[in-house]
Amino acid sequence: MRIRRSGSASIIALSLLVTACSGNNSSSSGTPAAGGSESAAPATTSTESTAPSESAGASTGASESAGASGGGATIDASGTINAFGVSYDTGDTIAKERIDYFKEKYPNVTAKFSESGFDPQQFVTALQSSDPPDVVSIERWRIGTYVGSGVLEPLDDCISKAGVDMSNYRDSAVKAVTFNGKIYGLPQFFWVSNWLVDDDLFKQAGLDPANWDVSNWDQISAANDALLSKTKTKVGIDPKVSDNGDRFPMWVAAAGGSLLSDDGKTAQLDSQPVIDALTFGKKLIDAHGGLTKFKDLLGQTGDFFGAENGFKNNLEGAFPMQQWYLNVLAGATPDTKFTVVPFKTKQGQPVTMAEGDALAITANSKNKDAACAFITAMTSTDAWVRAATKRASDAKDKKQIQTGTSTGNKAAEDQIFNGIADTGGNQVFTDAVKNYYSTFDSAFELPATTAAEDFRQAWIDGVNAALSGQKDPTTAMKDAQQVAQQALDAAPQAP
Amino acid sequence: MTAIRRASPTRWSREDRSTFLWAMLFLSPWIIGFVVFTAIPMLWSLFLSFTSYSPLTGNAPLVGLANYQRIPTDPKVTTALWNTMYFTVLFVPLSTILSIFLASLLNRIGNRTSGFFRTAFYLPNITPAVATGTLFILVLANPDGLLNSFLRFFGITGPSWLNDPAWLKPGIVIMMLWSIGGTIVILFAALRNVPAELHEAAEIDGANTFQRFRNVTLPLISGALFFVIIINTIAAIQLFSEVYTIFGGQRQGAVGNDAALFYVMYLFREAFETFRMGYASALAWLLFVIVGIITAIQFRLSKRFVYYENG
Repeated sequence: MRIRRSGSASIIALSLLVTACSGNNSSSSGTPAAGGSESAAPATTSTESTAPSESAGASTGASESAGASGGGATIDASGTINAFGVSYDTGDTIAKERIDYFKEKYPNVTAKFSESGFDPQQFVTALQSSDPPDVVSIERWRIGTYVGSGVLEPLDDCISKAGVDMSNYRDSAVKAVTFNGKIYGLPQFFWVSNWLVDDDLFKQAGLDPANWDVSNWDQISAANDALLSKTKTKVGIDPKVSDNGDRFPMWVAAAGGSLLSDDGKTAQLDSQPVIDALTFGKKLIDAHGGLTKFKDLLGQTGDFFGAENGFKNNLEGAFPMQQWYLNVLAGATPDTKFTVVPFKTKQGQPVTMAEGDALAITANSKNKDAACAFITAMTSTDAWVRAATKRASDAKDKKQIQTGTSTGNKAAEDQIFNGIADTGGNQVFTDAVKNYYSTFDSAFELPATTAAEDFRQAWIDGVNAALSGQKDPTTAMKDAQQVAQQALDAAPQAP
Repeated sequence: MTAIRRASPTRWSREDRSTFLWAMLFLSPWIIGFVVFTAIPMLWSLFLSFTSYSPLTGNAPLVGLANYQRIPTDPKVTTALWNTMYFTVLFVPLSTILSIFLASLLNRIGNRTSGFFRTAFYLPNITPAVATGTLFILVLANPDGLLNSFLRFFGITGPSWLNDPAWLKPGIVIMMLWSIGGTIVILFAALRNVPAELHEAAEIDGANTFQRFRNVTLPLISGALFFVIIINTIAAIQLFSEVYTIFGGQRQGAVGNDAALFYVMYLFREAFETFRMGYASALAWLLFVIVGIITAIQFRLSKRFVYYENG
């Protein structure tokens, strides 16, 4: 049976709410909102770069070299499109400049923006409205849920029509949006994670960040113990595996494994590298007195996004973090002394996990050419370079540090990190930017799966069950494996 | 023999019909609202519970009782139900006792003063749930939240209300107790209706304060008490907004073993995050049945414990 989409979303929502909540619930007024830990990454859901306004000196003529390989051919497009998960009026420079680039390139296309990040509930409602989205900006890890449901359009036609050179995009990002050989989204943003080390705390603990061998887990553990015993830090080493898992897949990769097989069909949650990674993460956390104590301590590390952050006040020793945080530190505490140490496998090879969004076209779009024009223009080299250049010049005017924007577009990144980004002579930030950029090629993303949400929830549940001591790591991940595999088996195949 | 015409009970006079039509006219906004926003959605939801409807695809293949059969095998449902019942059993008695206590205090002070306190007690009820949730992240934080700082003043080391699975639900109870103003106002109104003569008579008979409360006040406010217990039970079972604000989203997996997974939160997750609307509808109907059973039990018990002056 097929239910008419139009207007049914509101009825469904209403049905559930009325059925479940038809009583007099005096306590349930208001709109739910996601609570968040202070370590929550800024939304990876819109075209906005979530870092605060950076600063710095702009390089010259950055966009000159952005040739056809970036922007591709111009499509014959006109009419109106709705872009969901994209902000313009409320967007930052990176969003606005790229949209302005699109508007100039396609003056006959009118784009309307949701002015919000991606939200599954809003998106499904928007899909069923009389004016559904043509384009959506969505986190790459969750795109499979929508591909499996047939909501998104394969981009083969678009890519060929626009003459997009996919080799311009980061391979790992493209793989994350590829299902059965078809690409369903054009990557935008490419946030990799590496160790951020508080130099002062390490020195107090008798450690040297430059010589800290992060491929040796004994050294990581020793650093954790030394930080906790010899300094007044609240948190020694935060592996970033609690809460929503954050960097756990990276630890698994460092241990030589993966949560999911390359074809996205087989869960590997009970494999030895996963157990090893979880056991080690738990060890680091338990050294703080257990998960509850660890989270309490984490809550005392100051304002993660503000001037009183953990680095400034020496309250966090080290943790793996995405590079957008450099912009936070640059804006809030530019004098902070820290070191970026590339995350490494146990064999000493750099390995990092990349995250970001993708711009996709909805299957029911009535203006696919214009939608194609939008997503190709927005992720083109020209658009990125223009945005980064504007941001850099704005930052220079304010005499601020600008640490660059990682885009997922290699040609754009090459220009941004070899000229546009300007740390104003601040050696700490110069080294940090260089170290982050050096790891882009070693980045991986979780394999694409149409069971994205369920698979993710399964391993997060397993990790948290072990960290909280409810189950030992082996049992926790064995149980999680069962749930995850069931979800993978039951997931719809990509069209 | 004269035939006796039986008066038909359904035969209405012109005046009756006119009255009925006017009544229906005035009731129609509610009737239309009920049909459109309650009855039809409920029936629709019941239908969906027998399908595997996904709003993403628009497909709703019939699956019979599969959604209902899955519920007992879903460990998350057991966890969510346990958490919800744990919270309800803690919250309802505590909120009732505290409300009676505060309403009694209000009843003992002058009208003008009580007006101020009634307003003060009721203010949290008009605070948006999300704001309440956000506020209590600060109140319940450990060790420097408002509550633990207050406890420390008395030499007590407070627990980790937000991170320790064992203390998380009591912490949420404390948060929800902040919003008992509605219950206080209802019980205060009931207390004011207790005839002073009865208290005087009991006092003359030698009854002390507790005995007067136990044997005079309590029976006379039992109707209002019954009402607030039912309302608070239903509200507790449907707990969502405040806890979603604190523990939803980024902190969804924050507390291992799903200590903060309440029933409606799980329902919401199934409906709007994984888009299993059919299963979510079945969960909603299970909740409806649970609420119905609990309310029916309460009504049955009310015959023994609730005193109605006119019957």
